[in-house]
Amino acid sequence: MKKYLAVAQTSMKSVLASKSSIFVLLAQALIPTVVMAYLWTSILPGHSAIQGMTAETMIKYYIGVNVVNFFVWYAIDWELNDDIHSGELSNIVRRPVNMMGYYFSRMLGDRIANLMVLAPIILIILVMHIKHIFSLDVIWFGQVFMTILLAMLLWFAFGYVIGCLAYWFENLFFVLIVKEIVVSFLAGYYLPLNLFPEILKNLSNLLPFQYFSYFPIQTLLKQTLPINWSIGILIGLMWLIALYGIGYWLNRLGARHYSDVMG
Amino acid sequence: MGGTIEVNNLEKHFVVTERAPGLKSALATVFKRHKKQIAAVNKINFTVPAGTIVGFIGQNGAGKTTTIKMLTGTLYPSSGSINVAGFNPSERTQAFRRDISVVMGNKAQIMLDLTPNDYLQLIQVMYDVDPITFEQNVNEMTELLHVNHRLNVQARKLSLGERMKVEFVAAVATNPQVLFLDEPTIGLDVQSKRDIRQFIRCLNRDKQTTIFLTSHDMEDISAVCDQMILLNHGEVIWDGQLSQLMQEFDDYRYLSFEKGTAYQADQLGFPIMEETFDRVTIKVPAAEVNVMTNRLIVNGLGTAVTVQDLQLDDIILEVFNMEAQG
Ligand SMILES: Nc1ncnc2c1ncn2[C@@H]1O[C@H](COP(=O)(O)OP(=O)(O)OP(=O)(O)O)[C@@H](O)[C@H]1O
Ligand SMILES: [Mg+2]
Repeated sequence: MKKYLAVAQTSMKSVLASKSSIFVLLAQALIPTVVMAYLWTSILPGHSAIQGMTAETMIKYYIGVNVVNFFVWYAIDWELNDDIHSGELSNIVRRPVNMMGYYFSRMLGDRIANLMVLAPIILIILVMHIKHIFSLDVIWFGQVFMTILLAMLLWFAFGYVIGCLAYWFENLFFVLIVKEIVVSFLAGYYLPLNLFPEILKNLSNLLPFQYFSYFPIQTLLKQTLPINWSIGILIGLMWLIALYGIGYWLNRLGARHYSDVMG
Repeated sequence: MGGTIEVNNLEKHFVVTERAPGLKSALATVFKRHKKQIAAVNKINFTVPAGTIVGFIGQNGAGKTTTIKMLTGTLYPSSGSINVAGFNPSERTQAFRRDISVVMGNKAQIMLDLTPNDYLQLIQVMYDVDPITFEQNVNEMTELLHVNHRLNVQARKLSLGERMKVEFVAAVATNPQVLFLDEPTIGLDVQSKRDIRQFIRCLNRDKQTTIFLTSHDMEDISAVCDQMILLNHGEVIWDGQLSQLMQEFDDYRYLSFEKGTAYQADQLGFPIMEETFDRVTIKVPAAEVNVMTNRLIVNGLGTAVTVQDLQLDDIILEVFNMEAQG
């Protein structure tokens, strides 16, 4: 356990030492939200609504998207793809650490570092809403926490599975791009899933992607019934076990293919 | 027991796609690939007893790095078996990875965003080394290698040699049973090379660490190695004690001289090792050096004769040439 904390810590150090300035992170979160807000206020002026969603609920939805994303989004598949093709992976598989654990710790460290960068702003928001904190709905808070955690784990497991394909394909770039678009769409990143046509809704129910975004956002916005929430968590957990198994198995197979370039 | 290395019929094939130069052939490969299988390592066998320093020598592309990658478990063998310190490297057990260390001269292992200090801290925790001895070891080594003042600089900003030294310190500080060094002195200045060699010897003497070393610098080899394995096109062509190899050539000298007025190559009677337009080097049994020197001068075959013992470079070149001639 200590090792993985240390890995997470180094990943935090890397993040803090290099890229993330508070402005970049803020811009990353704000610009898409503002664009979406603008778009939907012009599509749905005043109180007009589609499927019961007004411009205001839409905007809330996209803020939710970004809140959830902030905890979840980490390009583990791209990282794995890079590491496999550059031979950097050798530096990990040679160490006495579990590979999946290593990458997961890196993701955690990265997310925590981002949180730390945004800490001042989060604090300001908290102080502004100080009255509400004491009347916080604890059950809701716990539910949000659990869905975000689930989203994070699922996202990781799925990204790991995709990243492992790099063992077999010399160039995964196209796959990764397409995956990004399709998955974001089916996760409810661009549009709430309840606006989808029936066919797509049914499709997304058969896939794990709604647990990346839509499900936690609905929880965040208090849009789920307790029974649906519990079923959602259960299905999400089953997906998690399945994806974890596939990732583990792909990595074992892939290791035989790994050609460790350079040297 | 300990850090023994045993290799049986080890093979590694790579499938490579080849293409002729030019855009047209680049396009052609999109549709049809010319696949070719190459044997980077071809059924090699050797044993390295625990506590030995072995030099693994071969020309560029001989298969040294490929072998090290298989011995350290990052690359799966195509066939054959390996035993390193009681483990099969391909299983990649954590205990195995805990027990070995690797330094690749031309490949950074340190995370470039981190400082050496951060990196070493991570290593200490990862390998679960006692923090006090770890710190002592690191202090000692970084001082010896003159990098103690560079430990808080981002690794990206270190020079090649400084980075190599840090990698070396990190590899050794975990107390491995077997240490793999692939060209560890690449990019180091003369003094640092000496420090590293000295260090390798001490490590081996004090902790009986098995050290598996490749280098193109024969001074590295002659200074530290007990055993030597020569690899040529993926095959072992010589395996034995360094002293034994030196002895095989002990009875020969190189005679080097300026071509005389009556110089004729077929008059020499000894094999020519090197020839430029005005100088020639021949290999002569030690007992005949004096006679030959006289003959050269008297017959006007050569002047300005110098005599030399064979250096390790010479010997190794000869072994490779003998192999090439069959
Ligand atoms: N990942 C790979 N894919 C295809 N071929 C490879 C790969 N790695 C190495 N080779 C080939 O295998 C052969 C042996 O390479 P290797 O790196 O083991 O040589 P080496 O003895 O370490 O040489 P050097 O002294 O130049 O470091 C070379 O012909 C090389 O082109
Ligand atoms: Mg090499």
